Amino acid sequence: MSRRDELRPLIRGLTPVEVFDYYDGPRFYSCRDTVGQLYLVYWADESEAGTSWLYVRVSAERYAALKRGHVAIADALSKPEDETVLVVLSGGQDFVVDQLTPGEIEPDWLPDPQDRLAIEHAALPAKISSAADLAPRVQRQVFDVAFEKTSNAYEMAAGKLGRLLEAFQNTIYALSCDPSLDIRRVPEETKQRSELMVTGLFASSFGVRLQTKGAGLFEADDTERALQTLAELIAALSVPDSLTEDLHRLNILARSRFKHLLRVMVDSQVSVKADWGTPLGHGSQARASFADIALSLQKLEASDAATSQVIERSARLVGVDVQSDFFALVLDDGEVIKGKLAKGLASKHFEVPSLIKAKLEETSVVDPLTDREKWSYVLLDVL
Amino acid sequence: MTKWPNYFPEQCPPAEARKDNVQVFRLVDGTPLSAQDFRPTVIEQPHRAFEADKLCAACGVSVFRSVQDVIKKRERFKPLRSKKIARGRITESDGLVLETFEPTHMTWWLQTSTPHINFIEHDEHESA
Repeated sequence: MSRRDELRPLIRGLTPVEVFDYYDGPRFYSCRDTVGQLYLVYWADESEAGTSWLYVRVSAERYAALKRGHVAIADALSKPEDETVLVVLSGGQDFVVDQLTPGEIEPDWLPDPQDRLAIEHAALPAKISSAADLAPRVQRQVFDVAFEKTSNAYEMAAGKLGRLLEAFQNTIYALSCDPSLDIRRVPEETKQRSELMVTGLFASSFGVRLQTKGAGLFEADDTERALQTLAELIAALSVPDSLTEDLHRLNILARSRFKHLLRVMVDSQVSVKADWGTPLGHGSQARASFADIALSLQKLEASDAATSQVIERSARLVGVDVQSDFFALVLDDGEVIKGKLAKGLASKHFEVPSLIKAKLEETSVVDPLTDREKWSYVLLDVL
Repeated sequence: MTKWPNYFPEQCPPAEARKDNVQVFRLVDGTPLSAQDFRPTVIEQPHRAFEADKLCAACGVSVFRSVQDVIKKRERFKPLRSKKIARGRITESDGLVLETFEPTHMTWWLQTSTPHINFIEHDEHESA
């Protein structure tokens, strides 16, 4: 046994990860240090000198095996992978650290050789570091999204997961566009910048770790703003009554896509938990229950208010049929849009073709069957 | 509104905690039982630092619905191996309870100064 007081800062800097055993306080739990190294911490003894805890470094693979019961607790503590055990004796507010070889461990500190944990049967690994912890280390935006099913299964239908991730990505694309811009398509360069990569899965019940391709050049780039907004929107789902109004700070495409994301989550019967972190160590967490998501969607579907906007556009009027309430315009960028005439315009005299300023009501809807975006237009007035 | 001791953090006990009438098991030093056997960890170990999310649980005491689980707990840790098992009933006037950490583990936030009076030493040869 050798005194290792130089390790006191390491012990002080450990962050708890998960509690395996609790009795009047955590008694067997895991921690990680500043670089993500996992430690098992085990209540070994009580004496007049204080409380003794075993600290054992452990690899992610052995950690998973311990949680699944494949490795006995006594083996995980007494046969450390690096042949080193730390004993922390704490009394009052102070503590000392000793280093032991495995042979120096008192046998009665350990549980029965057959005693095992069996707390995880998942095929997915546990999430060890939060998004805010990881992002500064990898210098990328990190957005962990956990889909929780009522069945709490560690599996998810591939088609449903695909739709969920696509809906998330499309919402991020739209949120990455300037909220004040009148956009109906996301520019390709924005898509390239805001593309998220799946970099891992974790148990929760089905967690997906998403990361940007690299850190932004500036402190707060479009993607960071988009991820922050998405975390805020998920938190806002707990107040469904004010959601429609809250969405109006976004561009219409983002509103429509977020509404579609809610529909996909309801179809998949999941609640959602988001954990966002930035390379500068900022971040936030948010969660929404399935009931909150379903109620929010119901509120948004009760009217088109969240996904419609009234806008004036310069255009060339190229077709009108008052019998069938039809109009066609060519916008300045060459795009042709077609729609219905508002009721009040049926008796109006139109000159075709003519350059006009059209007052339009535009509505964006994502088709729930095909997931394709559709725009509909009502010509409200010709100015 | 119930008044809790000053050392309880805000929003502790959590909103989901409830009044209940349940039979539970707890490890104690032995007979006769006393209120000392039901002291919360924050009082028992005033210098121990708790993470914010564990502090509230440490303001309560651990009890188990299942005697098998309390036996397993006693076997796992050396400092608990000399303890006896007490069996008793928490009533609605004794405080709030909530399932925490493991399926049969409950945290009990006491509102009685005599928690021990409804507990007796459990005969481990009889089934629970």
